[in-house]
Order: sequence, then C-alpha cells, then structure tokens
Amino acid sequence: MVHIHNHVVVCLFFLLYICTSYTLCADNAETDSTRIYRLQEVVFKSRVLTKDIFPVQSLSGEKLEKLNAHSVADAIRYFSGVQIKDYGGIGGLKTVNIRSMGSNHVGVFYDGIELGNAQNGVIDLGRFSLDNMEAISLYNGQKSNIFQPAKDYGSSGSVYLQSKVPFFDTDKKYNIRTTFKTGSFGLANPSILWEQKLNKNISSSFSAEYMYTTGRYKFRYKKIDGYDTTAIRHNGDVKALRAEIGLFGLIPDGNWRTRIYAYNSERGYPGAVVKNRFSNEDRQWDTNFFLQSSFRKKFNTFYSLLLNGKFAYDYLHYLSDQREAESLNNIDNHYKQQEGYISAANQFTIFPFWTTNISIDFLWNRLDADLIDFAYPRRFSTLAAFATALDFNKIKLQASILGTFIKEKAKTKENTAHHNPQYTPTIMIFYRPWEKGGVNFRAFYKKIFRLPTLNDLYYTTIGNIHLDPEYTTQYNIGITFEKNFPSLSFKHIEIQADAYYNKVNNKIVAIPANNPFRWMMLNLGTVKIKGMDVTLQGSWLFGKSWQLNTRINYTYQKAQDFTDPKDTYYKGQIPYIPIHSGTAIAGIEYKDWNINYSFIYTGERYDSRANIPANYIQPWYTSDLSISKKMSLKGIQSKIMIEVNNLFNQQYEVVRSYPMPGTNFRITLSVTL
Amino acid sequence: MKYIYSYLWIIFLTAVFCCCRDENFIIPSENEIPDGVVPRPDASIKGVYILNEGNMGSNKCTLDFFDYTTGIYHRNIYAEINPTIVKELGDVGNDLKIYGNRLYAVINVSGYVEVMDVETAVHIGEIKIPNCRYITFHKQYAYISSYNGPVSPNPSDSRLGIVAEVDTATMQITRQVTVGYQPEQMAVIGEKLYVANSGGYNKPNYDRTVSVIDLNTFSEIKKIDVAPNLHCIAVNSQNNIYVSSRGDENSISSDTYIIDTQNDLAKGNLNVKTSQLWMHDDILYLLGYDDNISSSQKNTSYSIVDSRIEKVITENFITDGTDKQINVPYGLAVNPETGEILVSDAKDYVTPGTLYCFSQEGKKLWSHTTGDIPSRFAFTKKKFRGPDEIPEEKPSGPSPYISKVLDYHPAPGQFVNLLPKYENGDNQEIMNAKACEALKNNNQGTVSLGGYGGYIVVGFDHTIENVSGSHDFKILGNAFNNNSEPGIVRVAYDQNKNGIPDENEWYELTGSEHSNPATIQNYNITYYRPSENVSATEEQYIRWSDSEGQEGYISKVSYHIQSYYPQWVTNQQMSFTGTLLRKNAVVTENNGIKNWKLTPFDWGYADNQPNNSTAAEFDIDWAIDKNRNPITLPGIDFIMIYTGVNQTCGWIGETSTEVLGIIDLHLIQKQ
Repeated sequence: MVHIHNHVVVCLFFLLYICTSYTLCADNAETDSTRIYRLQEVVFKSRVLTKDIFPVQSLSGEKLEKLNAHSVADAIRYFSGVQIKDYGGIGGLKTVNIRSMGSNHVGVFYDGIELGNAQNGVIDLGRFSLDNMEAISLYNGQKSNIFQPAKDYGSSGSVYLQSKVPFFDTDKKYNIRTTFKTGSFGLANPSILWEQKLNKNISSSFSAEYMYTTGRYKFRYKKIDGYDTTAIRHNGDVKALRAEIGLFGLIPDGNWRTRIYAYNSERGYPGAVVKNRFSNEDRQWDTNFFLQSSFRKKFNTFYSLLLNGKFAYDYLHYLSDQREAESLNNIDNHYKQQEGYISAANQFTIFPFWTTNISIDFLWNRLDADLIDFAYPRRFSTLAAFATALDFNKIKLQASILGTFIKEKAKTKENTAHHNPQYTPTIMIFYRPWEKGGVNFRAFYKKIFRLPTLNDLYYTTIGNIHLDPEYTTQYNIGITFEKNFPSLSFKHIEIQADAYYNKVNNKIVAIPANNPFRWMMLNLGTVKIKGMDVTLQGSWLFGKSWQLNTRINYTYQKAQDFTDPKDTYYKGQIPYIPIHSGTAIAGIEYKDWNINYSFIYTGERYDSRANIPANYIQPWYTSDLSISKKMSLKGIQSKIMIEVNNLFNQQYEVVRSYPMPGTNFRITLSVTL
Repeated sequence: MKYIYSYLWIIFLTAVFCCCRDENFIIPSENEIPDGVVPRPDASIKGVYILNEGNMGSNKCTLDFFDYTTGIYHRNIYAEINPTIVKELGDVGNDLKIYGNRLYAVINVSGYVEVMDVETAVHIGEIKIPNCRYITFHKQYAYISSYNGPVSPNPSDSRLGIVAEVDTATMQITRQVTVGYQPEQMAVIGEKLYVANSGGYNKPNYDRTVSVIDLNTFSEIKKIDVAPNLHCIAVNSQNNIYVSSRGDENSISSDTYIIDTQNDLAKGNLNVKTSQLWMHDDILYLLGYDDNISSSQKNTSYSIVDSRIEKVITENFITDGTDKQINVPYGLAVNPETGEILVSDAKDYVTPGTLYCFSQEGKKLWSHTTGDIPSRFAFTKKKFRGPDEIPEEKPSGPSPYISKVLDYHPAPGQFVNLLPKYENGDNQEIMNAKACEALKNNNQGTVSLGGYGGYIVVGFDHTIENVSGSHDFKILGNAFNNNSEPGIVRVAYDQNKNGIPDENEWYELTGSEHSNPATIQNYNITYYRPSENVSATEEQYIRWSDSEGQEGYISKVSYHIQSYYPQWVTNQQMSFTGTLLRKNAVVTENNGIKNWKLTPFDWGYADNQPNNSTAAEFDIDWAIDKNRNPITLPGIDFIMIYTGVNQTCGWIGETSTEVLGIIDLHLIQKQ
C-alpha cells in the first residue's frame, strides 16, 4: 500500500459519513422530534475514582482541556508513578512507563479495546490528540470492573482513552465544533467534530483533524567554562491526518457502538544530537486503520454479555536514505501488520454481593515486511479469564486468573517460536473501616507477563525465538481519603497514597553482538522497584465566583537492577527512572475566565545502570501557564486559550541527546454551533 | 484540615524550588593507580591511549591514557583538556593511531577524524569524512576508509566505500578512491594500500575482497577474493597480510586468511576465529568472540599464531583463568616494548568496560575500569603531560607552524591594507601582529605581499631541522591551476643565537628558475606614494622605477578601491632589492576579452604550486650564499618570502605573492 493521499482519505470518510447519516435519518423520518433523549446515560461513565479498588488516576472533560497538553502523552505526565520518554517536539516519540516496569507492559485501550502493536509492543501516545478525548485514566494493575474482556486482565498497568460521546441539549439534533490551534513549531492544527442525532436511539459522530508542524525549535548546550552552542532542531516535521466515525446505539438494558478510525502521517526522525550531527534525514510514513465494535446487554439479573470485535491494519515505511551525504544506514523497509480480535465477556450475578465473569478472547496477528530472510510470523492467541468479585459493603474482594495460549507460525518450522501456556493470577482486597469518614484501604497482588514481541522473536539478524516471556509481579497497598467541607471556603480534599513493590524477571534486553551489523535479544534482566505514589487534590471557593482547584502528585521510585551480583553496577538505578518526581497543577476560575498553572519536576536520572557522572542526566522542571476565556455570541459558543509552555526557558533533555524545546506558545480557538 | 493541606502545598513547593539543578559541568577526568601496577619511570613506551567507542547516539566516545612511567590510569581526559570543543569527542569512536607528534581518533557517527597533540591530547584540528572507519599512514599522508562512497544507481545496492587521502600537513583531503563495500582496516606495503571490504550492509551478500590501491595513481588495481565480511588487517615482516573474516553467520564461520603480497593472492587460512588482530614481532595475537544465540553460550578464544611458521601456538594465552571474568573481549594490543598484552572487556556495552593487562606469560598484572566499550589502543614513546602541566600560551611543545612575524613589508598591491586589514592608527608593530594572527598555529589566514619585492619575515619556536635527502618545510599559498604568483624564499639560521636574523645569516633558496638567463640578480625597485585624489580606476596609480631603467605603474582595479600603498608606512617612497624572476603571465584573447594565465614554475617558489603538491615543499639544502654557491645549514630559524615577479596583468591587476602559512614537515611526520 502506497501512501494514501490525505485529502482522499478525508473525502472518503466524509462521504461515508454523509451517506450513513442520511440513510439512518431517512429510515427514522417519522421519529418524534419533540422528545429529549440523553444518550449520555448509556455510556460507560467514570465512577467516583478514589473509591476504586485498583489505584486509578483520571483526567477528564474540562480538566483535560485546561492542561497545557497537546497529546495524550503530555496529559499523562501529570499522573504519579509514570515516566514519559519524550524525544522532543510535537512529532517526537512519546512512550509511557508505569511504575518502572517498562513501556512494553502498558496496555493502551481506546474506547475499551486494546490498541495492539505486535511488532514492537510500543504505542506512541504522542500521536493521540486530545481533540476528541473525553477522559484519560491510568490504572495500576487492572481496571476494577471484572466485567471486561480477557485482554483487560493482561497488562501490568493500563491507560484507557475515552473518546467523546455525543450528547445533545434540548431541541438540538446536532453539535458542530471546530477548533484551530497554532503556535510555536510552525503548528497548524484544524479539527472538526460533528455529532448528529439520527433517531431516538442512535447518534453518530464524525471527527477529523489535520496537524502540520515544522518541528523546528532552538536548543542550547552549555557547559560551565566550556562550550556554548545554540542550534535549531531539524527534520522534526509532521503531517498527520486523523478521521473517525462513530455510531452509538441504545437498546433495552444495553448499548452498542462502532467506530472506524484512520490515521495517516509522514514525519521526519530528528535523531540524536551528537557531535557534528545535529540533525538526521530519516523519514517515516504511517497508515493506521481500525474498525471496532462493542455490544453490551444485560439479559436478566443473572446474566450480562459484552461482545467486542476489531480489525486493524497498520502500515509503516521507514527510510534511512543512503543517498544522503552523511547517511549511516541503508534502510528502506515497509511493514504491514494486521490484527483481528473478538471477545466475549459473560457476567453471572450469583447473588447481589457475588458476581463472576468468564471472558474469552481470540486474537490473530500477522506481520509482513520486506526484510531479507523475513520470517513472516503469524500469532494466534487465546486468552481466557475467570474472575470473581465479592462485595460485603465494608470489604470487597476480587480475584482473577488469566490463561494465555499462544501458537505461532513462521516461514519455516524450525524458526518458529514455541510458547508455553501461561496462567497468571490477581488478587485484591478493599476495606472501608468506617461508614463515614471517607477513609479506605486497598491492597493487590498481580502477576502478569508480556510476550516477546514479534520483533524480539523474528527481527532479521537480531531476533531470538528462544525468548521467554518477561514477568512482572506487583504488590501494592494504599489508602484513600476524601472529605467535603460545605461550610468552609476550602471545599474539598482528596488524598491517595500507595506504596508498592514490583519485580521484573526475565527482562528482554537487546545486546549488541561483536559484529556491528548484528544485535541479539536475551532474557537477561531482573529489576526490583520499591515505590510510593501520592496524590493530593483540593478545591476552594472564594466569594461566589472565584474557584481554585489544585492537584499535587509525588512519586518516589527506587528501581534497581538486580541482574548479576558480580556486576560492578549491581543494584544501580535503572536508566531514566528518577528517584523523585512530581507535578503540581493550580487552576483559578472566575466566571468565563480560567488560568491554569502546571509544574512538572523530574529528578536526577542516569541513562545507564552505571550511576556515574558520565551517565548523569540533570533534573528538569518546567512551568506551563494557560489562560482561557469563553464567549457566547448569538448562541454560538466560542473559546480562546493562550498557552505559554516552559515559561522559564529551561534547556533540558528527557532522553539523552534529544534536546527539548525551550519556551513555546500555542493559541487555541474553538467555535461550537 | 484546611491548614494541613496548605502546609503540604508550601512544603512541596519549597522542596521543588530548593532542589534547583546545577549548571552543566565538564565531567572531570579520574586518575588512579590500578592495584598491581608497578610504575616504570625508565620505560621507553611511556604510555598507551585507549579509545572508548560509546554506544551509538550517546555521544559518549571518550579517551583514556595509561601512563607506564607513573602507573596512573587517566580516565576520560578529552573533555577536561578540551572544554571548548562542542560535544566533546563525539559519537562512536572507531580507530585510534599515533603518527609523528599527533594522535588521530576516527569518530564514526560524528563523521570526522580528531587530530590531537600526542603529548597533551590537546585538540589541533579535525578532518571531516562521513561514516569514517579506520586510518593508516604513509609518508606525509593519512588514509581513511569510509562507507560513504558514490551512490549506486541501483537503489537496492548499498553505497560503495572509499579511501580518502589526507595531507597531514594541511589536514585537507587530496585524493580519494572508490573501493569495495563498507571498507574497514587497511595496511600499506611498499607503494600499495590494502583495504579489507566487509559489505556489512549487504547481508547476506557480503563483500569478499581486499582492494589493492596503487598509491601513485591512487586507483584500485586489483580485488583479491578472500572470504565474506572482512574486517581486521595485520602485516608481518615478510609482508604477509593477515585479514580477519567475520564469516557469513551461516555456512562459513569466522576465520583468519593470509594474503601473499608478492602475487596479491590469498594463500591460506589459519582456522582461527577472529574478532581482533595484533601483530607483535611477527607473532600474531587474535581475539575470537562468537555469540551463539541458540545456545546462549559464549565462545571466546585468545590465540597466538607464529606468523613465520604459520602455526597456532595457543588458543588461550590467558593462563591464570582470568578469561572466565571477561564477558565480551573487545579490544586487543601488545606493548611493543614489554610484550604485555592488553585485552578489554566491553561487558554489556552500556556500562563502563574493563581493561586487563597480562604479562607475556598470560598472568593478569592489573585491571582497571575504562569508558563505555573500550576498543582501540595507541602506544606512545612521548611522556604524557596532563592539563596542569601544559603552559597556557604554548599548548603543545614545538609548533610545526609559524609562531612569530618579525617584519611585514608589502609592496603596493590590490590586497594591501586588506589582507591583513589596516585600521586607522595601526603602526608597523600592529601590522606585524595582525599578519602573525593570520598565519600562526595553522590558522591559514591570507597575507598579501603586494607587488615585486614586498616581503614578510617569520620565525618559529624551534629550529627547523635540515634533514638531508628530504624536504624540510612547506609554504602554503593560494596558488591553483594557472594562478601562480611566485615568491622567492630566503632562510636564516640563527648562528649567534641572538633571536633575530642578522643580515649575514640570510641565504636564498634556489628554485627552478635559478639558472634561467631571464632571471636578474640584485634587482632594485622603488615605488612612489600616490597623490590622495586618484580616481578609483586610475591606470597610472602608483609609479615605480627600477634598476633596469624601466618605469611603470601599479594600476587600480575596479573591485579593490582601498588605498594600495601600505597606509602605516609614512615614507614617500619605498625600495626593494632582490632576485627578479621572469614574467610568468600568458595572455590570450577571446572575443575581445583578455584572459591571463599565471603559469607555474617547476619548483622552489612560494604561492607557485598547489598546497597539496610536493612542489610546494622546500629543502634547506637548496640554500645558496651571496656568490650563489650552495651552502649546508644545520637548520633554519627564520624564513623570508618576497614577491618575485614584477608584472601587471590588465584587469586582474599586479601579481602579488600570498602566504597562508608554513609547516615544519618533520614535526608532523613520523620521526
């Protein structure tokens, strides 16, 4: 598949959307239009989060909009226990690592269904725009709800992305919102969201977004009594187009939804800034497509069913052009991934206090590439989960076990990996000592693994089919507290604190072999993590219209390498994990005005487990400020927001040799019809 | 509760703002004596430089030095010694060699060769070559292999590699030749350069050849078929080449092959796995390292082969069991004086490695932590001087370049008052200093001497030795094809050591025009200061008269409108005396436009032949006395250059010698 022209994609999607809308409208032409339907009620709405059994953090709605965040990855930086690897700029790769277990252990779910990347297991969260996002939640362990697909039991930590669901005010049959963002890095980012009520039970949504950035910004390297150089980041440009259509339906005691998603992009790979090489020429093209559907129905008090299905196609073209004068490589590779997924979750409510769930998922992955001697792997996975939950009001218990059964096929039998069945348990307990007082205790144990990715196993010249899965074991205890003070100006406080101990065994690491053209993958590492996450939230109300919301996160993580006791750097802090990190957000609201200040601190880190000066990476902390104002003119709502990021122009690196931008600006203008 | 929360906020914010970060600092070197080291103050090999590659993208290539005389291991010295060099040594070091007084480090990803002073590791210059791999030397040239040769018209083919020839004096590429795919190590035997081609980008179709380059024509004269994926090269005293093959990871395993350079054919193999080679007194040391993925078993060997009888002596020269501690044997070297063996362990490539030193008998003497991925070694007979021992003004012992300008006296000319630039109030002393700034330390700025007779007198911080049978120094000019502006060279030996060239110490160097009847001795010319109000294109601008009874003018050319008469000279006229060379200009006319060719003389003149030509070099043995008889000088301390022709060529103006620098060839070439 060659690069689909962006305009063609948009047009096709738009046509498709118009057609479906029209047909559905025509079918229901006689629907009573005076009645009001609130589709909002049918969607999975987030619960009061602090009472969740598994530690969860969430940002949604207005809070999400106010953040100085361009992508999902930017927003996740505000959660505790999380490290984002950010290669800089709008287009740079951004991956999330929860509690130092590695980004491969994070499951990312879009509207309830996991985004897969069987090839390398990493999801670039920098590509997911916040434009049509309703909520972002991060769970340690798994989601507390047992009525879910088997896949949802299968990660050490999970990020749930919830897109906006159509909601219509009285008498309105449609919502149209257009947004335009511009600012530093040559950003031009128009988007549109069109929600249409089709009949009393069905609504649709069309969302499209185009993003262009030159990715250029100044950076500076300065040493005391040494060199001082300033340069401009090049080849960080991105052209990306996203288009989505969603249909949302309501049925008695249930609902369904279906979504088509398409994404097409071209980007430069700016590369590491090393001596004499401040830029890079490599390019990458991506096309991602998926179609997913979900159906949920409660048949009676005893039995409920949740069905999910998905087909995904991902295309990637990476070019490191040897014709470039300073080229180091000769790479011109095309990868195609396909994924098929079906899942059935069956919940049985045996007594009102006792529910059980049986989920079975089938997953099929296929990876094709134009590499020499490529293995053309196909993976067939069956996941079966059995979960049970007991709720005695003061005490809640959950236990689940996940069975994973994998079969693989590669070009030749002797080069095919064999995977043993895996059975992995999770147990949790929740205790509320007093009916009032707002104090809750929680604890969980979870053992889970990640499979070697298809790249780990089959990548030409480095893959190793003898790899075992990489296991994580987590122990967590926590406390939550929540209280309202209706009579004070200090209205509300919420505290979450969790302490944890994690262990990663059989960690899969890439080791360069003696031949520079050849690396190898081995199950080499053991990592032990002792950590603590604390979140505080508070809100004030002064007078009638001054409101102040604050949020603080603090994370402590001692994540040490325990691989080889003979090694000089045994027990060294693992790369890129700070011992201390934290964030603070303060938002002031006054009538239509809103000011938001956010602060992120990441402590000192090392880029190798050898914690020596040569590998030291300085702490960084950035202050971001945004001001927004809402306006209403003849029934048209509009909003303007101005952001200043990295207010004090700090020059820093999240990943060594990948400088981050200094002070930068963004303006967002949105109009809702 | 309200207050507790507020306090928490205050504590948090205070904590955050208190943990302010330091500014970035240059990482200092670490200096330690490893356990077990016995310093040898009388060692003739004074030390060894160690190059640490650093993992790709980390910019962590570092340089270490082990001092045999003090026993001190200096770790990561480059950044501290050269703090102003942006981004230190760079990304992925690949080769390290010493030639003459200089240390050369080939930095692969950063695409350049770092040139340092061998005694101090002070930066001298850099040679940019993308994707460069290895370096070797012959005569005054460095030969550098690089993967980035011409792009193949077939896009599925990778680029061919090249070898670049670099003049060590100018650090400029002079010639380059296309070789096989992804060339690696090289060796010079006679006038031939042998290059091992790997073809690593073309897996599984590896290159199998060694390219043979004729150094005179700098062209590939043969490809010797050997084995897939060639890498290391070592040569013994019988001029047999040992070349290592990494094998094809399939049916052909790693091995070492022998090439007979009499007939340039592969004549056999040693049947020894090889990842590194080192030749010491005709004994070949080999590291073998093979990672077998399926069994996760490491397969290492430490072999010795007697190259005279081509017999394997041992497959494990480490006799005390230390080999079991070595995870990834990576670098190998043998001290030429003591025969002690250095083996480096790269471990996991992302943490510092270890250097082991073994006695000749294979017993561990000491070990020490290095930088990341220690790989290449260069032994030196020079004593290392750390940053504290380097005097501030003179960083690196005798400089091969001009260190002072004693006198700068140009005749009138179109570049006078521009190169170097005259500013109001400048006197002779300031103009001498400006000329010095342009020429010293290989700055290669341009100093114009103006018309006939204009001269410059320069000095050095040492005596340039007169080595018989070889050229002694080179004068850099801006001559190129048919643009020669010859200057005559005089030299002075400071016999009475008074620090200045006395009149009786000057001797002229002969050149190719020495016996040309058109050459005039004891020629004298006088220039007259022009009146102030001469218009910009005046042909009769600055009048001159000479001892031959001739008169003429330096005319003003349209594109140089400043005054041509040296502005710091107050006299109304200026005279010069010397040898006058014949006019070298040839004029052709095409459609009414005159074209001037300034043809070169054969040899012996400054700014006459291109800088990369040996005809830009000078031999002190060419000196003649006042009676034009040859004289032998032990060396020279001063050089004078003056413009040797008196001609004006229409619109291109008068012929004036330009000087860009002088290089003592002995100081930068192998001793």
